[in-house]
Amino acid sequence: MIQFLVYGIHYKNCPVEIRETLHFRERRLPEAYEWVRREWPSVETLILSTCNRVELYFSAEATSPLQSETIAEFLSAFHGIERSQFESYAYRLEGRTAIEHLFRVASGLDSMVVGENEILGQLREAFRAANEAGTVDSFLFRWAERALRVGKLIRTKTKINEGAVSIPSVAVELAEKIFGRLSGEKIMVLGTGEMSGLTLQNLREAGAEALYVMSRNEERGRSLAESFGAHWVSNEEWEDLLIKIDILIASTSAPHPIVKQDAVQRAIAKRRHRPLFLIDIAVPRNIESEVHALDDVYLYNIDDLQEVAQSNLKLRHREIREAEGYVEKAVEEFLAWAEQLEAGPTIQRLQAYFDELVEEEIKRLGSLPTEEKERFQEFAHRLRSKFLHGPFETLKESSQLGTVRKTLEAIHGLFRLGHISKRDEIGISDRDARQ
Amino acid sequence: MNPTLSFLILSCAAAIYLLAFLFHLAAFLGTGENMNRWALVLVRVAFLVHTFFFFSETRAQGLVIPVSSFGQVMAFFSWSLAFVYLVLLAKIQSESFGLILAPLLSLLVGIGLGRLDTGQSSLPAPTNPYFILHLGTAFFAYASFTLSFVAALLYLIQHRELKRKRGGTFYHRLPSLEALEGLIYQPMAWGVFLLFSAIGVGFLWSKSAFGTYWLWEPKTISTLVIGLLYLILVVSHYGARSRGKRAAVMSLVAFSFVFLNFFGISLLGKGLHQIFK
Repeated sequence: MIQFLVYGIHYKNCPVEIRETLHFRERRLPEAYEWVRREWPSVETLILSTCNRVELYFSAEATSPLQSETIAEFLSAFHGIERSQFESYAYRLEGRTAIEHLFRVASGLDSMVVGENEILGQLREAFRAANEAGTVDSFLFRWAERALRVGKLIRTKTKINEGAVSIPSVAVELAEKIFGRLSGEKIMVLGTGEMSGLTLQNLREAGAEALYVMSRNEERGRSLAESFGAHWVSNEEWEDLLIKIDILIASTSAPHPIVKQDAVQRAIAKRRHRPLFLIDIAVPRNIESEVHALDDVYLYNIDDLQEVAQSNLKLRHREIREAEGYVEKAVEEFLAWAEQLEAGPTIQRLQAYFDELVEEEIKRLGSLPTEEKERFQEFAHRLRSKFLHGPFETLKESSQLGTVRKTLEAIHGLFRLGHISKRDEIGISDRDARQ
Repeated sequence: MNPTLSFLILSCAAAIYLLAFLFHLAAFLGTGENMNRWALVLVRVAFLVHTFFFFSETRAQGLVIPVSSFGQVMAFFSWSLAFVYLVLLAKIQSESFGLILAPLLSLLVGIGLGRLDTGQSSLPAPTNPYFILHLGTAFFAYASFTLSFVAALLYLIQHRELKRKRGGTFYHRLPSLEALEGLIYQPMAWGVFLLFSAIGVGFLWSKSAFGTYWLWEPKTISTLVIGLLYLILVVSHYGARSRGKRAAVMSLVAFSFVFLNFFGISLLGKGLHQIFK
């Protein structure tokens, strides 16, 4: 019987410093897989290591169980950390729960930000690395491949990944709600804070164009402007340039609003009411709140952006139930597949057993005319098919019900097929298993 | 055609438009994107049934455009609206448009059903080619203005959502302000072209039917005024003089004149353009 197992730690209860220590860096992954191949040659292994989780996925014969202590020992030795430091945070999931967990991880249902897309790419990359290292075989291959597929399906069929949930991405979403698909909308940045750079970068990646950067510190202003292909402007110039831009990001350290209502009012009139999007990510605020009352001016400060992010997150949470339905279905299908695969050797043995009986009886008949021999063989073949139909159907049904083990034992007992053997002994190839 | 059969076919179209609205509504309330696709399919099916009604009426009455009763006028107007939405706006259809248009189509067809054989219009039988063209272009112009009106409504809703800063359902479901502005002015520009075409062809028809190019009656005067009003809006928009919320509000104001022109003038009971007596 095949065992599916997950051992790991994640953001929900494990402190970031422990996660950082246990994180498998990309350059050290081959070394880790080398260790796994050497120490656990009959175990299929996949390592998923991100900033939010470090998880090891295993698939192995139940006859060679992998103890939590063994895995913890490996992590401890590999990362040079005491077991006692992380064992209390670690979890071990088995069987159905383990299978479901990977599907939930791939779907973003287990992520800190529900529905985030990044995890799907990270899992794909982890799968590729394990594949290259040769530590995934039939079962884990299928398990990970199904997880990636269900993750993609859920993102297509539900809205779990819709709506921006970080400040810079909310700014992009809002800009797109005002200007449509961004294509060359002009941006001016006031101040050189980290968040304004990040927001500017997101807007540029979405298609907008950085035009001006205003900073009292000329050197820093010029440096930011150059990195985005924009122009530095002085504190005296920026106000007149409001008519030339579509998006303004304000994040100066000024202790009072520097963007005044009357300045924006003049600009919007000159712009003939072409919409203007103002993003105020400074604390204290840089833009007078009265500006928002002007027609065709949309002012969002840091709290407003956060509120939109929260609202988007709520929308994602509404999709969880539907997404879980897809996960449930995928788990059932995967379990049915695994159970059917387990029945494979028995089916082959049963067929071989009947073929042997038929062959024996034909030999006993001695020499018969060819025509009569063919008729007899045909009769024997039909009888074999009809006789085996019942047990095969029962196996199929029990694999769907999750009781295949009992049925296999009954068949092995009734027909004296010997012990239920591993698939390898009977020669099921990896390719058969993957199909 | 048998009046009962006509009634049944048109009822069928109204019911399918209504069903499409329910599907759009379900999608809007978050029951899945598939609902929107089904809603669009239903609108198309309803449009085909609606078109079949016209073909059968055309054959039965021997007229190119059957508008001999108020019911038929409403049925033709709603058909023009569906045509502009499904054919001319095919590339820029959006679920939010469907959410407003599907019930509107159902309502207009429903009103038409109520007076399909009664409420004879005073419109002359459309047998003269100029008059047929005049009717066709005028109805399509009104349909285009109606679509522009719907887009303006959606623009103001999205504008309000962005001002409220809550990221609610409308914010997520409606297109961007830029896209909606395009949806206001593109049909409006077609409408202006079609309306002036209708006025021009109307002159020719008037000359051939009454011996004069210009008939002094309320409808012709108000139509000319509306045409000029929309022309100013279109020119000022494309000349970058009118944008944003103000442009959307102006579209609503202009449409209120269209509404008065289409229905209100008939209430005066004067002139040729009476869609119901």
